[in-house]
Amino acid sequence: MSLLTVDSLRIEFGPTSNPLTAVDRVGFSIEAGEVVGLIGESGSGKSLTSRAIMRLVSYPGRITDGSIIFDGRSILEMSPRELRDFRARDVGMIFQDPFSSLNPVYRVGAQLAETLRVNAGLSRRAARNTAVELLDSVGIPDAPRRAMSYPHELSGGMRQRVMIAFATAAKPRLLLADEPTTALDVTTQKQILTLLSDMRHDNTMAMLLVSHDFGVIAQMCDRVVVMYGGRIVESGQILDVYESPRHPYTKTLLASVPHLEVGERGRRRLIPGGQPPQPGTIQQGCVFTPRCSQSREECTRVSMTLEPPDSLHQSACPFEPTSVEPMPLPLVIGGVT
Amino acid sequence: MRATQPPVPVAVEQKSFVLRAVTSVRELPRSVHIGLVIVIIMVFAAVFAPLLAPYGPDDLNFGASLLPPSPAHLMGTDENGRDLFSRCLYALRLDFLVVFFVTYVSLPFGVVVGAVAGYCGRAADSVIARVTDIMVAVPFLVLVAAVVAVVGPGMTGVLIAVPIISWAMYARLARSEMLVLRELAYMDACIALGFSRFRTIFRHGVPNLLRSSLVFSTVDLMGNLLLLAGLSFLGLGAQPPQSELGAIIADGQSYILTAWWLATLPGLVLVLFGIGVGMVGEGLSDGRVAGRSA
Repeated sequence: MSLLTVDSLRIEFGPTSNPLTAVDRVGFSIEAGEVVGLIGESGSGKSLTSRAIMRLVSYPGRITDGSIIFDGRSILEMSPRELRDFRARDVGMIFQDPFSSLNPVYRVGAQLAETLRVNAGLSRRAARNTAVELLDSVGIPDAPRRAMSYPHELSGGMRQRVMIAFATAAKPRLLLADEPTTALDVTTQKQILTLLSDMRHDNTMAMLLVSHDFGVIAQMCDRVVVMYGGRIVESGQILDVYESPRHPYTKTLLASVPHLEVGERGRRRLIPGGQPPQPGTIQQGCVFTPRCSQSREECTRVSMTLEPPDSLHQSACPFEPTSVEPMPLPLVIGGVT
Repeated sequence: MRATQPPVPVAVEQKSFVLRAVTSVRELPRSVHIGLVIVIIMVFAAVFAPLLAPYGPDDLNFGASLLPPSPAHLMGTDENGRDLFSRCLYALRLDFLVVFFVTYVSLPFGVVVGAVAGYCGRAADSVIARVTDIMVAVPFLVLVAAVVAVVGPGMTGVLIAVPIISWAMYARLARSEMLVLRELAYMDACIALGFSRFRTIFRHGVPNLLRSSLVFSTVDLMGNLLLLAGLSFLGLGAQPPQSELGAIIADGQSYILTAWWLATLPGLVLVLFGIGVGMVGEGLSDGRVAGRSA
């Protein structure tokens, strides 16, 4: 059985009579120890999906349909008390912005020690010492002194390291990383990704890596799930999706990644038609139709079910892919050429 | 990147609490220092009034009535020959006691209510927000007069009436700050780390929203002092022979043309305190202190 199974998840905003659907019929699973990437543009619902796993979707957003099963337990049916035990101990989370994810009024060592006291039941003294060891293990130089620093005294990369120490302190079996490197510069991104892989091998932790960066996903993940307009459009083993993308969106998304080798001749091929759809504007058919270069009349009627069922490589586009160009894997980390 | 030596238990830079407090006060802007000196001197003067006052506050001496300020009577004497300086010292005692009490009872109550309302949102928030709106709309002086009418003139009326109203401003401030805080990643992180709501709101939220309430409390402190003096002036607050600045000024008012010091000098004492707390408040609201939240 999978460690985490998300099934036909729907997240809505706005009035119940006329809701806006931000995430619709999203389903995927993560095996123990596996790294799954969740990729999509801004507003595609990828962050919301990862927050739903933590039950962090707050008013006015709400989960109206579907199920999230972690290790046989339904997360959506947990009581507040069960949720508190579940969070951090079973699933940890890292946030995008390391500049606002630490409380500015406490020293980082004290904050980390608090987490250990709450989640691992350590004594005050033991928690302090373990906090320093944890800071050391995420590569903070001179950890005993850094533990006495306030968050504003640390760089972005250091803060993200501290955040990783927070999220992994209670040894969760699944780590949700919501764009962990987006706010960092490229060299720091590389270090943080390396650290994340190290942490994973150390305690065989599964990971859901949310990103809009194909480079990051390619380096880190076993499998990838592509989202667009609140729906999953394609999912599969990372190499399958890269080498033979089946959904037109994935294809254009891959084609829009700049490559060093192409040089001046190869201008970036951008996805036509501007913006992803506003939630709720597309009620029927495929959400990508308005921007799809291969759209046809039937597209407004397709149901976007992931086909073929039981396959490792699924796509929500029922039509045969045309003109598949083999894409070289982007070797650059961080989407910068 | 791993350090080669095993980490040493935290012992570095473990300054004592007092030392840290002194250092952080020293880092505050100059105006806070000046303001603090004024306030501290005045509080000391009030606390040690029995030692500092050259005369008793109610010592009558009809042979020395309405004397102008002199080395023997620093602020002169009133129509009954009471030493005005001594009376002002004792008046500060009473005023400070009442004013600090009403202000810093309202503050924690308001902050707790406001923080919970702002964090929980929805129904609780709507109810609390409307209640505070009503509180702010109530005419203050009328309410105090009504309470005084029930409990009788004296300080009790003030002690009851002021907190009933003034917690609402702190609740509004705390609520509005919490609405901003709640969206920040570290508040989400608290939830993601499995912290209880209580811990999230009070250990991680409140310390970050307290500053605006503390700054406002310096303004409120002065407002309450003026209110108290005003009520005594109207005869609703301190009753004779209690010495209270407002009451002293009210008494001196009838002699304003012949003995100007009776109303003027106690008034200047009020002004001095206002300048002191004002400078502290302004310094605290100054962005430079915000280093830690930057």
